[in-house]
Amino acid sequence: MEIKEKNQSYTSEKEGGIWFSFSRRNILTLAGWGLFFATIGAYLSQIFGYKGFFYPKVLFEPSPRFSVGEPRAFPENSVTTLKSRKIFIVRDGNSFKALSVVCQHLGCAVEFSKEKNIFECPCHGSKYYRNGVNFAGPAPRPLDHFEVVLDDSGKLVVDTSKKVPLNTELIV
Amino acid sequence: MKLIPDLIKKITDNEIWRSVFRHGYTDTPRNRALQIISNVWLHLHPAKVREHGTKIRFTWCMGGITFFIFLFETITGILLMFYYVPDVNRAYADIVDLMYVVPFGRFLRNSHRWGAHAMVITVSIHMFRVFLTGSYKPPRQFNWVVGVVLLVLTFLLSFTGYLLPWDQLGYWAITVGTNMARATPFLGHEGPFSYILGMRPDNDIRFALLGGTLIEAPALLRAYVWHCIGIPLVASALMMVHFWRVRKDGGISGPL
Repeated sequence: MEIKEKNQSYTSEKEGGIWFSFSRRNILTLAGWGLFFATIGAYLSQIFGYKGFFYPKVLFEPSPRFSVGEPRAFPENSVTTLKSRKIFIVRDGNSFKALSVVCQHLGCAVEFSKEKNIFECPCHGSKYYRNGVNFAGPAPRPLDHFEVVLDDSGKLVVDTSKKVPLNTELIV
Repeated sequence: MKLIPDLIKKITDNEIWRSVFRHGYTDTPRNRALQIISNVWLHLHPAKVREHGTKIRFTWCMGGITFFIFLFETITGILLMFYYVPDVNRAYADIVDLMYVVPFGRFLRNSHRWGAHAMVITVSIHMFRVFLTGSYKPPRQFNWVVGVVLLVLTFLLSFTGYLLPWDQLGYWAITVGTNMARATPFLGHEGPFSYILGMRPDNDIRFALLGGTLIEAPALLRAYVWHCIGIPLVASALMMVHFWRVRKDGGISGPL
């Protein structure tokens, strides 16, 4: 069966077409459809909207802010790797810094070389000085530095959600 | 009032629109039929329905409402699956999270639960109507049978969903329910004639339902998979048959 599509208009000749023929006769029909779409819209916005169903309020992730212990736990002039936290604690005398282990090239974990006193990336050979500044390999930027503070009980607290400028250090 | 018609014409009077919606909404009997026939979602529905089929006082629309609730339960159920894990150590905590922490979670969970209750009620009323109007009589006997199977599947959906929160209510409901399965003739180890097949607590029908002799982690996982995948798939297939047969058996039965 061939379906001919000539001269078919989406609006009828009368005012508004069948979609929008406002009259008292179909006010309840319109109200019903309005309610239906309002309900659908309310559901959709609550489910897919910002801070709706897909934005959990509670995360089961490690906190970006954590204590790493007392300052004296870190030897003077040392670099300590906290593998599970993905940071280095760099201590020089009384100065403390928290550096990210994530290489700025493609996100591998860099390692500290004690003999050379630099950070080296095992993946593509990026190298960083002890202060985190890149000097060789494909890395485009220095390692991230995170905020370190001393809490009330005298322990160091690192917040990996707060990046600080390169030369920031905590003097204890 | 000329603005809206002009806007509609602008949106609809082009090739892109026509490629999706093949024909217009000019209100002719032929177009009404075409809207049903050429729509992938509606083509299972008959293009023409007898006038009495649209009379709410004859059908009560209970079958349609049941199908609507089934779709609603599918959508809310899929959303709940984003936060619920069928693990004995997590399941209850996940439900508590849904109730108290997840945005809109409590509303979705309660919607799902009330929808489940409503579905059992609407299925029952639908069958009551079909019985009162004699719509189970020939040539519709087979569709009545399909409907009875769908009723059982509805009960099974409720039953399997009951265990998922892993709370006392569900745990003891499943305890009672599966203890009844012990008494199944031939297949339950406490049932009549079960000695013929050599049924024991660790090889009867209850064992197969629970995946063990106790209600433990395998039972929770089985309830979850049956509830979310197995039974809905079977029910969907049977619903297609059900709707198809309504049409093939002469449409919705009419007043005598």
